Amino acid sequence: MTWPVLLSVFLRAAFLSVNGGTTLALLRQDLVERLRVLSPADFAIGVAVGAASPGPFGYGCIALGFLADGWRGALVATFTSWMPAFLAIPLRAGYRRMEKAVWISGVSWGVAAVGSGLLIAMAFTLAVGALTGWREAALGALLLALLFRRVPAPMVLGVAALAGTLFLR
Amino acid sequence: MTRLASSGSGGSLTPATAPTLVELVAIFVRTGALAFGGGAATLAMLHDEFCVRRPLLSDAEFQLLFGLTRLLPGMNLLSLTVMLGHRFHGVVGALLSLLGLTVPSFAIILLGCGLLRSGHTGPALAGAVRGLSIGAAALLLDTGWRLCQGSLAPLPWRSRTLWVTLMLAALLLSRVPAISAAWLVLGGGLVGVLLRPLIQSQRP
Repeated sequence: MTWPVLLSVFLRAAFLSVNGGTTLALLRQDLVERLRVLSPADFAIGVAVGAASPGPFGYGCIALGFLADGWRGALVATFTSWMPAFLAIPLRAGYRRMEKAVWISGVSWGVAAVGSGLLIAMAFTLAVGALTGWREAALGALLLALLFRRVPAPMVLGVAALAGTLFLR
Repeated sequence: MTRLASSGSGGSLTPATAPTLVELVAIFVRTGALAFGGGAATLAMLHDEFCVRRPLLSDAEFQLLFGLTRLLPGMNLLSLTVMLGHRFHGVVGALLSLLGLTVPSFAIILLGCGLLRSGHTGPALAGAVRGLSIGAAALLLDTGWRLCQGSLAPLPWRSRTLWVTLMLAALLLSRVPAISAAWLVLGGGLVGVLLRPLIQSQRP
């Protein structure tokens, strides 16, 4: 892939997406369907590696960049995925400038309520996809019980991975 | 720099010292290395680090920052990382936080690509991934529950009822594919402005 093509593919995915899932969907359009740089199997490997690695799900784009164009692709995928995130600085600054305005407390209240709703919706979507049988449901209940007893998150994820290796293979 | 922030459960106010740049980056390196389970696990770990273990932010501010990230393109968690890094150490903090979150993931992803391409995988890895996805769902449910508890605790009953109604409406509307999360966040802000006389929030 040439530099301009590589950059345009990953910039498009970064700036036209609204979350990690859409980033990967846009990359599939370009890398698998339009440019045919990756096979569907390669794409599945990239997404699986991203899902199995720590960090945001959308970081599967790093794996796709690597599979499509080696180290250069991985680095371009990484840095382009960062770019939209820096829009958060002016957004937060603008919000802080208006923080003293009377109406902004209403905005904070409303945004927090909607943010929580979106978070719980995301949790339900994940749960529905993950709980496919009684063993999965039992593991989910055990992990929730550990979390309610304030067991640290990394330890709970360690238990999840170990239980998955032993009982969900 | 000392800040006052509510504890993770939304309870009493506790003074918390802002992290040094090294401590801030260490939080993100730890999250980037241990948050197996995708964005859900990453979000839950960041909430744990910033609101529970060391109450640097109130639950309300964490929710607000997360809500604002939904207005931006790209991965929400990267925007949240930039906001958190920038809040404590400006642009350098934002950049290094992003680097800290990314480097462990980057290394593990490239290692994983190498392993998968060479065929060194098996049912054990598939099982671990399945277990981690269940862990991520549990983590996110727990985080959502704690955030709601923290937000609702200081509100008077009328504001609390309206907050839960708006939260449930957002939850339901998020299932409609034609409505993007950004519109829901903007709508939530607008509803908050319109309902402000009824809310009587004790928040700043």
